[in-house]
Amino acid sequence: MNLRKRCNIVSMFMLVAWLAAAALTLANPAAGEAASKPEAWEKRQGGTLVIGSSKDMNTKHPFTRVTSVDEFIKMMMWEPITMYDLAGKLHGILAESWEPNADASEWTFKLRRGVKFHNGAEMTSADWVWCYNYILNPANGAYANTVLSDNIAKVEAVDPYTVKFKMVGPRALFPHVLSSIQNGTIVPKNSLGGKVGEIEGNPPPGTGPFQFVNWTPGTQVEFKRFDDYWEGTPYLEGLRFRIITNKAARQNALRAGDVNMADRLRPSFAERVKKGRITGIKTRAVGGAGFRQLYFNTKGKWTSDKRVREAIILSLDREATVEEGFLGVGDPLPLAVPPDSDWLRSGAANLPSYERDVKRARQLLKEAGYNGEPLSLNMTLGQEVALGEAIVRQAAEAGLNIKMAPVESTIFYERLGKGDFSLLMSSGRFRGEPGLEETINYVCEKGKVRRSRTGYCNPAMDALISSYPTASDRAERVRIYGEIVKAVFADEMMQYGIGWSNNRNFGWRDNVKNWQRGPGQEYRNALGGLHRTWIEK
Amino acid sequence: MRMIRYTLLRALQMIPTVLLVTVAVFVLIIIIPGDPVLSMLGYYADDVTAVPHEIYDRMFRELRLDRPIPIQYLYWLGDALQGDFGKSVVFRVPVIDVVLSRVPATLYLGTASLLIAIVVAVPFGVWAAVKNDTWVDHLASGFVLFGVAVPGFWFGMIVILVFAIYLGWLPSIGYVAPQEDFLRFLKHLIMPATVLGLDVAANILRFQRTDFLDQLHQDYVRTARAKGLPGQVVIWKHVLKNSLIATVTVVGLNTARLLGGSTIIETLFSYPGLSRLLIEAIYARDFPVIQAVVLWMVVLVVVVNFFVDLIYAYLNPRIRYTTA
Amino acid sequence: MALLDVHNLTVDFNLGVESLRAVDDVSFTLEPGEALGIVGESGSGKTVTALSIMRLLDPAARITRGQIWFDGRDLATQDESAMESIRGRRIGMVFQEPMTSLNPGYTVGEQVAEVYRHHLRLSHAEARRRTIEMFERVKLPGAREMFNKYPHEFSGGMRQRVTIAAALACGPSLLIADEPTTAVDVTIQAQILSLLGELQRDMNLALLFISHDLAVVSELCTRAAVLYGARLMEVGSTDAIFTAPRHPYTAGLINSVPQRGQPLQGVPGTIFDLRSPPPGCRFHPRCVHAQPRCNREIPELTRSPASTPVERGHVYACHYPLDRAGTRPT
Repeated sequence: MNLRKRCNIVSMFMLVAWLAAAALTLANPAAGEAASKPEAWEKRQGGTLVIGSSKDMNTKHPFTRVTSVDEFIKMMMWEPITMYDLAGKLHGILAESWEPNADASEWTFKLRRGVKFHNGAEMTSADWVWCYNYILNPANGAYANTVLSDNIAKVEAVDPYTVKFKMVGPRALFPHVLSSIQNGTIVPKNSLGGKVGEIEGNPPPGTGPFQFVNWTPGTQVEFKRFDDYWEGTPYLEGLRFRIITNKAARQNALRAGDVNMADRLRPSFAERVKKGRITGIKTRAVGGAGFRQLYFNTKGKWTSDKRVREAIILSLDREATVEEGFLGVGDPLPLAVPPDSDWLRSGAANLPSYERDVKRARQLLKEAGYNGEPLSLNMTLGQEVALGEAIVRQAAEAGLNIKMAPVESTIFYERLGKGDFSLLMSSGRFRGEPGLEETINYVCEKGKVRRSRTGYCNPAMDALISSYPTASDRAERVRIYGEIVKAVFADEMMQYGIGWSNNRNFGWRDNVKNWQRGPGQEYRNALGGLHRTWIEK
Repeated sequence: MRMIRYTLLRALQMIPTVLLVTVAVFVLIIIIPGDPVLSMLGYYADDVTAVPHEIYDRMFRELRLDRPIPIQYLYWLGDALQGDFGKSVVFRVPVIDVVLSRVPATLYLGTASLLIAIVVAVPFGVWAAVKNDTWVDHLASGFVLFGVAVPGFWFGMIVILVFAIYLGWLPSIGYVAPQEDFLRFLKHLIMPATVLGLDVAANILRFQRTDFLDQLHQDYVRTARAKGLPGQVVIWKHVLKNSLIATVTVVGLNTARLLGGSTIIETLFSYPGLSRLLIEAIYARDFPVIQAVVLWMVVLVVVVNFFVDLIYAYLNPRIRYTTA
Repeated sequence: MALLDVHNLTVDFNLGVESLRAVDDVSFTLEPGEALGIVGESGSGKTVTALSIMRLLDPAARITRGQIWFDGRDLATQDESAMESIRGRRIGMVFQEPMTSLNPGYTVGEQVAEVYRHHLRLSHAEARRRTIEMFERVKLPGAREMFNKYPHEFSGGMRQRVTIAAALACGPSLLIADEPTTAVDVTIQAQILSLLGELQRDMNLALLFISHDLAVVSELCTRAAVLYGARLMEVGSTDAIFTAPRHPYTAGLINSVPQRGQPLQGVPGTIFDLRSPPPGCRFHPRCVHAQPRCNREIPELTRSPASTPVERGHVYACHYPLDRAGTRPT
């Protein structure tokens, strides 16, 4: 592995941990005391922060499916129950604490006191119960229904600030599940109704640092400061997400000062900022957002043969692929977990060596009777074509005929659903519990949840992966993760990890102070976010 | 009288055209891959087994997908005629609101760039034709070559670099409604309108110059001069009216294009126009929005053609008689 | 004094790499109220001569020598604005192609009325009234209804009446008609000719009538000038020229007019390329009577001994003119 890059990513994680610790000591608001003012508030307050955003918010509904930037924007007004910090530690946001019973089949959550909704009402357990019952009722069509009904059997209020969840079985990872607003942010009770997934007028109030003002779909989303925010009044008076889909246009807008911040800038832009050729701007690579990996269709024409899958893996050189495919801004790594983490140690122990061996690959292909028949590489248009090309070229040296098929995302998912592909390029991010991420790819039948994307179907695998969320002990989950890795990578050769792509850069003008990114996102983490950011006058 | 009859006739002829187009737009949407029920529910296309059946079926019926296609079409047409294009799959708000929020911006940009194009191209084209083979003419040819060969995207980038980034005179992105702040409206409009306008101007100029040159050699020009009319009257009264027939064709084609929005310019300037809405709607499989925008664009083309025909009839009296 | 005195007119065309002389040393005069026909084949320089008088030559053409005296002014040296006040006001012109010489985009009425408005500064209403009067004068049926019609609604003959009306609107003293009847059919042709004759007499108009048709010229004009290859061959009264041509070319032209009971005779050979005119007499390569001298010397215009009034002012450019019987003297 490239040592320099390794150092980069390690130092990044260290920095993040330090920041988290610092923030912990600094920003510990007094519980129950809303409308407190953070440090130097009078001096720093004011101004509207304009953000050039690559994508728009999707809906005004809190319980529809969220997609990356859509979720980041919504998290300005709606907050999850729990949230990760940059070090990967889970913190309470709308809950102060939580406690499972012995086998994690029952969870008791203590609500944070003094949390106010944007409409002025205080958040209580009645709101929680109403929201979870809303999601659990299939007639409402909430996206989280699938996930939550696999966790919660019953939800009840113990007192105004205590909620008890009866689970369908042992569910050790329930607080993790609640770290996404999609799986249950809290809005005032009875604030939703009508047709599935639709909202008339303004979205329901949330508890977040900013409250909704208006939304012009595809153009901009506007928020204003929520003075009674439980963590203290934000500095910024307003927040405006300007939707600028084009990278060049976002960069121009940032340079021209039309926006104060912009996401997803080109590496070349960051390079010019670094070299001092563009001034007045700072940038940072927001790594950890895009891990790239290949999946094989185990029901595919040729890829159903394990020898072919192994041959493809043996034909690839990870270092070279990353260098070529990520244009020099990537970190080669076989698993979508932080380097030096116990996850990686546990997984890596079970990984095959992955030394490139073209000769062996040819031998395997010969045995499988493969003779240059086309194999399709299904990928979305947004993904790195350079990466696909690197893979195609290396595989060709072993006699493999891989055809890149970059398609628009609806078609991508449709092919996925039909199993109409040989290889699949997918991106993922680390969300704290890597064992949960593979469910969709390898679990075949599990109640009413989906069939596996790779077409793989094995009760032993089903049992292994479903045992993961039941394990209360982290060490146990680390061990199970290692087992999953062994089965997926070593035994079945169904997956190949390429590495982290660090080509997403976030930029901000010099006068924007105290911007802190979240894990995999730009605007919020458990210990900081735009509500702690100010514009220097 | 004849002109009125001609206008009515042409107006009536638009109706079957538009109806035919609605059928095409409707069928087009059926052909495009993707499951509208899943998108409406906010699921990916491979999520089909994850959607509770009762929800899927209810949405299926709500979207009237259980009806025969001709019936679906009639329902859709009936609603569309009342301005109801359904709800946007992505934004979950009425399509008509989304589209109408984009229409003024598009119309302002289209009209402004068209004005710039005409104001630049027509006099310049006339001048170049009259001064055939002099430096003016060469300048015009150079302009045409530049306009046709240089991509709008590149030209737009340069303009942004100079006026927004280095000089800081103009904003690089966005749109402000004129009733909100007229000066800022103009500041936001001027760069995209100029880039788009000059592109179209090159197009118009090319035809204007050639046709004007051709008209200058017509017999009626000599007659007009033999009557003692001054050169300016001959050019601006006699020649221009005839050469405008060709110009109006080009302007008409470009008007429909401009009023429908320009994807590249709207993207580059992050301008909230219809064209960008359409592209994004296509990516997101936002069928109702696609239908509404495509329909709007086609109706626009039909209406512009109608006006082009009327102008033709004014410029070329022969048309009025042969058709009416 | 002559109304129009064209003196040694020479017009050159600059065609980039080469040039040609379209009118070479042409002189003639036209008295007020007189009708002069200019006769010649295509390319002989008739139209260029007419356009020189109007100063409507192609930009590539230039008057390199000579004067065009009209009303005491040399038109060859007038500037454009002076010419604009002469064209349509003092000199009217009617062109060959009635189908294309009117603007298809304006009503015929407007195209005549604008002449009144421009030259006489008349109001719209007055210009309209005068236009309708003029339409009646050129015998357009239903003159009032005609005003708002467009050229495409008219036949060739009617259009030609409109162009005549426009040319004569301001009562010019000279009308130049460049083959006005060539493009219309024969019955209409006669009507137009008689109209022109009538107007010429009524308005005391000098008429410069350009045609390749000798019969038409003899009917309408009192004098005729014969052009061949940019040079004047013969000028004289139509009677003299048609009964006793002195130039072999003129004689050839007359013989080529079809006559009952006589075999058709043309002038043998074809006209030379103007870019490389033959030396000596321009006509000698086609002349049956050519002598060695014709190849060397350009013949000057020679005055015929004026023994009869008919022959007064009869000039020709030939070293060996025909005698009065039309035969070559020995």
